[in-house]
Amino acid sequence: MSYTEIFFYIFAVLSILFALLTVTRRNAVHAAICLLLTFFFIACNYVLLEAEFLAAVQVLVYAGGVVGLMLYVIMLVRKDEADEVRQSLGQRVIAVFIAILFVLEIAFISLLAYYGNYSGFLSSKMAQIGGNTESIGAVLYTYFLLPFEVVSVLLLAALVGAVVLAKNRIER
Amino acid sequence: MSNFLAGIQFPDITAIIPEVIALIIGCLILLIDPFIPKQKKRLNGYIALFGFVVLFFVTLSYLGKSIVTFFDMFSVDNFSTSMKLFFFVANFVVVLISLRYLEMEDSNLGEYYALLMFATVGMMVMVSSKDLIMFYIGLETMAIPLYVLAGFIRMNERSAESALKYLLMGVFVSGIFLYGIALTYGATGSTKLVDIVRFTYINGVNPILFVAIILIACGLGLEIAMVPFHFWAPDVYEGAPTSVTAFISVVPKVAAIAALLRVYFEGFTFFAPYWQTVLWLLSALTMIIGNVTAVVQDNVKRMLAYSSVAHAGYMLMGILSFNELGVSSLVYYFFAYSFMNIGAFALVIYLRRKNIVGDRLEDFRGLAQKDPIAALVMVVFLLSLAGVPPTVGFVGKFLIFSAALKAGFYWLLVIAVVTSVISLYYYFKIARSMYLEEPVADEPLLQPLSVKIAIFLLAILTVVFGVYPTPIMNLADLSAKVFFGY
Repeated sequence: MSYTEIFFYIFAVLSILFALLTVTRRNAVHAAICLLLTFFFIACNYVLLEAEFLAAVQVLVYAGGVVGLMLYVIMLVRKDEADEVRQSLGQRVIAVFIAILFVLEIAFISLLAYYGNYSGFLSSKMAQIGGNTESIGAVLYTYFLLPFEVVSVLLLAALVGAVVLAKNRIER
Repeated sequence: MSNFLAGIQFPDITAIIPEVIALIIGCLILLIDPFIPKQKKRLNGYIALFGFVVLFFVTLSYLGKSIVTFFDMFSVDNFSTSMKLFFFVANFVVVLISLRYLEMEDSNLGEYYALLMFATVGMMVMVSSKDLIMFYIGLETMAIPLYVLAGFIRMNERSAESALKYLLMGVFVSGIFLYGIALTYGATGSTKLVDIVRFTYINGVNPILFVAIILIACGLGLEIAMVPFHFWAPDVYEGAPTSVTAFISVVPKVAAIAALLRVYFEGFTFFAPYWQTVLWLLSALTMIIGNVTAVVQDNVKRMLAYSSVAHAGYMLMGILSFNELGVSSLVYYFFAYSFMNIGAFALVIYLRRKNIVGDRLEDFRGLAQKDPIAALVMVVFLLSLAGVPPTVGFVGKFLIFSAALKAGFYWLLVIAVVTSVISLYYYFKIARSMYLEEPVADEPLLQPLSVKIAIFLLAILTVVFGVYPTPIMNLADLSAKVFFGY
């Protein structure tokens, strides 16, 4: 068992552990922080699987952006009201059914990857030509140059728009 | 890595010069705005006006050129060039009617014109793109400034409400559009229109693409305001600042229709019978629901909203005819529609005065006695919207109907003619109110000069191109040759 494999299992167990904690904690802030750690450990596994771009996106978008948004929402909800809300929707049968479907789907994909020699096909090939961050960068700045540049206009417009709408509120 | 980059050609940057100029003007307004004292904010508007004139002449020099660059993503051809010329003409008038209106609403900020410029960049990208990703980004670049513009009047609840409604609908529908793109990519392995058409030519018709075609129509359907995506239109049109309503009801709608036309004609060419059927149904529903609902409205902005829904139905007829006359009549109709519809909204702005928005039917009461010329001009716009000669509206409708006739859509034509007759009724509710009813004594009209100029300009264009349509027809024929020139 190589070091990589040992670390992989450690991170995998940790991410499952924190995922379980996320759904079982009653306190919403605790749940959100557990979710953040889950995302973080999944990102660690991405690094071990030579998908470092995906790892960076995982940390920036999910751990950074999504959990940040969730904490904002939790901040806006009054705590005493939140405690009274029921923790279950009473749809156990449907939930179990969907969970089983999901497990079967993952098992099917894993078997397909194991017997079909698809495992690590893309990432190892990408690693040979300099890693997937470089590959994405190379495509982004050549074939997708124009959409990339127009997105900057989009972001500028969104920024200006947000300032306009917010400024109007403050001035009066 | 080095062999990956080998063989990549440097894109032809001359193709995007108009877009870059528009972007620079938008940023220039943002940069100059803080240094302009509060009483002279109108200068921003003058910069925008000047910018649209410059852009018009720069783009005019592209007429006749045909460039496909940025790896088959961006195309300069006569169709996209004439669409861009259309945007500049329409936006010029929109800025002209905004100048005084924004001062009256006490929200004369430079950002208004900058956002208008950014939305224009998005639309220019949209009509030029030959790639679904590029379409999507153009659509969003257009849509986000629109949401902000709809909520531009400070602290006005209706304006804020309309902006939020527009945003929620827009986000929802853009998800649908993305799903359509994803399905197309899954089925054909590319988002480029050239590759999609090549794939379907080799591999035949794929049932997943049927779903994708509908989803793409839905995604663009919001900006087109076609049934069943028209519910936002009356509320947003009523709540948004009137100058923005004039803009939203014309320019983004035309951009979305032009984009839909290009996706269907160039990407899904081999699915023509299928999307013709889909659009047949949508077009018929849009014309019927738009015209019938407009009859019961007594708010002029809401009435014009439903009328613009109905006009979207007529424009869809131009796409589904799928012939050369269809495209050229559509391009003509775009110009005609912009003259008359912006004109009608400009009249609403003309009636804006202290505490009166000017969008109720009572505000038009007895206008013929108070301001006979304005009333006459309004009648010209209404005649044109209803499609009565000698106006641009008549020529546009005549051309579109004959395109549908040529393609053999007789029943759709019957629906179109019957609904046009219905539209006469509600357009003339306004005319009756102006001529046959006594004026109410209230605040005097302000008669701002810039709005006056815009109204007369539009009225002259409405009549002149109705009698002598050749210049626009030539442009329209040139753009139709892009799709049927071979």
